[in-house]
Amino acid sequence: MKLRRNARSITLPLAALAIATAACSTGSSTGEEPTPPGGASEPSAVPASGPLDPFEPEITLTSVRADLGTNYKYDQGETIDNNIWIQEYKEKLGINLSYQWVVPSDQYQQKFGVALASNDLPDVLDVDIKNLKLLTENDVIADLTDVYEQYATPLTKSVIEGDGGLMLGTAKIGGKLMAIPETLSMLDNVEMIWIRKDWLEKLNLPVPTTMDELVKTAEAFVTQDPDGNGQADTYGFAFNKDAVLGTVTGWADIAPIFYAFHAYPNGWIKDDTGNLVSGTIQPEVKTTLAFLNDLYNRKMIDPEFGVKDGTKVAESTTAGKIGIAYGAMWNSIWPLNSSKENAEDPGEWIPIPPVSSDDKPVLSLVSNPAANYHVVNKNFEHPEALIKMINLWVENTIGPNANNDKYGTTLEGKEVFKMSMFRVWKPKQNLESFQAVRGALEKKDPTGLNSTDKSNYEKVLAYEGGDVKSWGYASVFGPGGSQSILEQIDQNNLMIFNEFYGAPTQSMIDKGATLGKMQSETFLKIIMGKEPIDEFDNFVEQWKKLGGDDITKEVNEWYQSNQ
Amino acid sequence: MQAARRKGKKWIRESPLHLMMVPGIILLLIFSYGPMIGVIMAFQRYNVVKGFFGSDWVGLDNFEFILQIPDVRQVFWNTVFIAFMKIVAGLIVPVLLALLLNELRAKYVKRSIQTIIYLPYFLSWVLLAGILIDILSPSEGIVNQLLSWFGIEPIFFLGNEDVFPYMLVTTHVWKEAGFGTIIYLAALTGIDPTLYEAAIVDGANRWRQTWHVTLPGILPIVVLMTVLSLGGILNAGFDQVYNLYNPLVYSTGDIIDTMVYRMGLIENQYSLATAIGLFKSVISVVLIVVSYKLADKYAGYRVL
Repeated sequence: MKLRRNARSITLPLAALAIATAACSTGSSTGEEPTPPGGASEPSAVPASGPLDPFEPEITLTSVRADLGTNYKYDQGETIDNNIWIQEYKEKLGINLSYQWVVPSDQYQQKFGVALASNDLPDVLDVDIKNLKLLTENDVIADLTDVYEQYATPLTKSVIEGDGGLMLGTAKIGGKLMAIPETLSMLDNVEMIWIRKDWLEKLNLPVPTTMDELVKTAEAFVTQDPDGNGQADTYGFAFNKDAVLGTVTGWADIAPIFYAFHAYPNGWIKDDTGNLVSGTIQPEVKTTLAFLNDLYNRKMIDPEFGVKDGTKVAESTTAGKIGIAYGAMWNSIWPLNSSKENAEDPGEWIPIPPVSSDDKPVLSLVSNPAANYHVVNKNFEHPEALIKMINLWVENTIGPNANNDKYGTTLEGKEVFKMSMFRVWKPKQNLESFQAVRGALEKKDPTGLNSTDKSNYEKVLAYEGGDVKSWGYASVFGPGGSQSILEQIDQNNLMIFNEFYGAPTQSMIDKGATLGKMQSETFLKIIMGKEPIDEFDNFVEQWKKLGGDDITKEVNEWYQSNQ
Repeated sequence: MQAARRKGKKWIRESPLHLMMVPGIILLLIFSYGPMIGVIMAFQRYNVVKGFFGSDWVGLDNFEFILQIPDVRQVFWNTVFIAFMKIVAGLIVPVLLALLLNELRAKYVKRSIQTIIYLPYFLSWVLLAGILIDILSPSEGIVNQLLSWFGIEPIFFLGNEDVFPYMLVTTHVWKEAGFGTIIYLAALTGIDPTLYEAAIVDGANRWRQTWHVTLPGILPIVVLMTVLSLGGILNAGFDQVYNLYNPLVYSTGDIIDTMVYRMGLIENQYSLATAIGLFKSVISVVLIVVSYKLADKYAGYRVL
């Protein structure tokens, strides 16, 4: 349950990141190219062919995929079946890739289910972690352990295992590597505080560095009429109703407040004995709920937040009713850009690091961000083709001879990378782009930047030159932007990992919905003062009884077998 | 002999008509009866890879599982309660509206009112939910501002578990009433005007005419609509509830469909969804049959 919820909750950030990714993810930055120690041409264990050698004779490979959406602008004569990436596969690797079907992304799961039921799976395809488990259990897909070892170039491995192998580990079932995950940045899911600097300045307040100061600031935002309209119509914190579970939804979240109290609801963390325990039922959660209830009573939270989803909360925030929001690094691209562009009341939002309730640092809970797993049909005789295609992707977009303008995102912003069948991303690509842009800004010289870094660089300059539309990106990649916050978090390693990253266990499937309902009901009612805070103890007892204990047992069994 | 030959002749004469029905029947078999084979999923732990024939049989386990969900009784009761109120209100309000509209003499007034009350029918619940959250807001919603003129404290309509089911019924009727009204207005035009003339001759006033001529005149349609709507007693309106509910009103607002939806999201639980669907269908069939018999007995209404 936990993982599914997380996976779902990051779709919003991911959707928004599609924009950001377009601009930033494909970037390879200056310098830092990991140089393979032995070089790609190491002669030991001579494979049948090199990691980037073409197949001779050419092979045919079938796949399926989601289309690129109705807004995607193809060039003249270009289609999903005939484009630069399809040609690359053919010319460089001798692979004739053809799609059995291409459907809009919201129909992919359904179509996949039909293909599976009618035993008509293609040679290679993308699945989610739940289906990865299903396909593995039913012995439909190939074990990739050996081909990955043998064919992945050192550069590819450095990208995929750039996080120390955590994400790759999620694709190992029973010790066998059953898929190559589409690795993404974990760091970009860490949330920070967005705060209105113009309100701080107006009320003569410092930038808050502790939870106490943050609450004082919020109180001032509520009581001292920061918008100057003479009415008490402003709230302190932006919260959306889906965030009440303490999951990360990317915008107007409560989760970082839990983290400030060292509580990690929906996460699985190690206890003193080395077993995994559910973060949801720890006493720190109760402390946080009591704190939130206090905030609610002091009118620092919109009394109606329980019925408002993220979009609704965004409306009141951009209308200048709210001055503090916890959210992801892309919040300046959505929704805060509308506040900035609001001519009547332009909001001067800045990102600041999450604050702690005591002298211990805040650790943000991070879960496996991979949503796509690249798998190979068991009956396909060239499983190495998948690895070769990934090698080619890495070569074309990240390697020393990468050409992002051609294969990644063009300078005009066309997302060519989407036409590639398989992708993997470096764990800190946005951060690296930020650092590259910073270097160029210091030198006032963009030479040496790749196309995406250059576009970010130009947006920062455009904003400094007065173009308010470029503020969103400038606030991510510019000086003091959200990536600078993530840089600190990364350097000081202020993260705690959700130790459970497998597919949902049987009890999660059976009991997850019941427990989730109970959790959101209890949390929301305690925050809104409809139930006493001690109701939490009752919740913990019920949680354990109604399936939580079973889930904990299964999670620990999984944990033992994945050590 | 004679009769048999006549029957044969009738058969031959009508055979083109029967032939014309064939394509329709084939489509019905393919798209409505064929998929019913899938009902066996309700008795299996269905595995997509293994299919119908390979999946394990679990008998009634799925049904037992549903009954073991801790709050299933509450959810079931919510569903029936909300759906029942919707059916009742959904019958009375359109009939009243149709009668009132029928009394209007100015044609363009009648037409415009009819169009206006029909409009919300075309809006989706996703859209309406956004509007309703605004107009029902306790702090700035127009409804609570109106109430405050009468000295009534603001009511958190969508966050109060006592009020929420009635909000569902009210907004449902507001959205759907226009459609029913049109049906009843159509039925009203079918009433023989001579009946009214006769009633007037007998000295009946407007109220008497309505009671003795109009209402009996549209009764068959009312009964038909009731019979049809009773089949939906377990459909409390997924779209509406899903877009309007929140954890504060789970205790009175959570219905079978939203529960299944939340379960289904976590994993594609085909078997469970099928079991609940089958369960709902069985109850609906029973209710339709019973109400049909009752309609036949008390209102003399029958289709066949």
